[in-house]
Amino acid sequence: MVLPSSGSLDYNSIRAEFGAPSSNVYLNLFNRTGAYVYNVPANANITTSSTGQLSVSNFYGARSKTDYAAGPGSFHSTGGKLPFLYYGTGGTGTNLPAFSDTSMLVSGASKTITGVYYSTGIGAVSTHVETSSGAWYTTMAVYRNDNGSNVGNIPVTNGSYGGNPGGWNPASTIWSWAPSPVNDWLYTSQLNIYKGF
Amino acid sequence: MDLSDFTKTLNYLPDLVRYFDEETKEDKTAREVELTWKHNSLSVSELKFYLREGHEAWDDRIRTRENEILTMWMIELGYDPLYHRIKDKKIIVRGQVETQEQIDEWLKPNSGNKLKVTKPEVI
Repeated sequence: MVLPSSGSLDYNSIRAEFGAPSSNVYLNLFNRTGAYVYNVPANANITTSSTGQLSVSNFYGARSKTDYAAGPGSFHSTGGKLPFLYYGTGGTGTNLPAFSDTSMLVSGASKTITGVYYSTGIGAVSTHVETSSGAWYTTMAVYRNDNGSNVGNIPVTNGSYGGNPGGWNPASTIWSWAPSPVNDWLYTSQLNIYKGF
Repeated sequence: MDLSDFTKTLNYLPDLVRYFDEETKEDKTAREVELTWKHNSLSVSELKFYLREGHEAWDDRIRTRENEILTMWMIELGYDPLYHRIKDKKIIVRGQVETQEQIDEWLKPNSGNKLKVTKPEVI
């Protein structure tokens, strides 16, 4: 969710939105890229440094982590003469690092997401979104948490998967997939932030 | 070691906090909640978390914080997180073999139960 864009705003409202462990509220706890605030456009007014100047007004319209899922943007090759290459986060059988934050909001509804990755190899090029919240349709924006840039957008446009090629349970895992431009930009070597609209 | 014997209390703070409700497109107020975790028998720190009442990610954030707290208690009790971790509110040794099935697998990885016995071809 989000903090108000105008009017009075106090330290406690900021703490109650982002969630924090300290009884004493101090603003530099909430610096962008820190433990509580992702580096996304809605939080652009918040400084990234814990020693930078920060005022309550910088938090107008700021968004907590609730809206976003996150995980390391990584790469894996299966090796050998005809390797499969995986770019992104999580996913079944990809050997990519798991999501550190699996919940995100899409059109106001909470979704659990366990994989966003692009794969390429012999005879197969595709982008996958694995979620346990049923099939859904959105454009997913991907941001890098180190510099806040929007590295790309993935249109998740296609339905739900009911098969069982990898041995995982289709009852709990729905596999939506997107059209496949080359999405190797999911490999950022940084924390990727994923947001659905 | 089982860490599950703790009490979690909720204290509603007197001042209201503000937030923007994106569904109704209105600024709203809510109570701020102070959650406190206190272990009932072990000598470990009492730890807190603050969040708005009715926060969309209430369960998720509190579950995450509880895991953090259990890990902090584990470290306070002298367990090295390199070799130990929390699972189901218990301190367990990372990679520890616990079941007879795991032992059997280690002793004989491709047993006849898993891999059918076949006659080798004559060369």
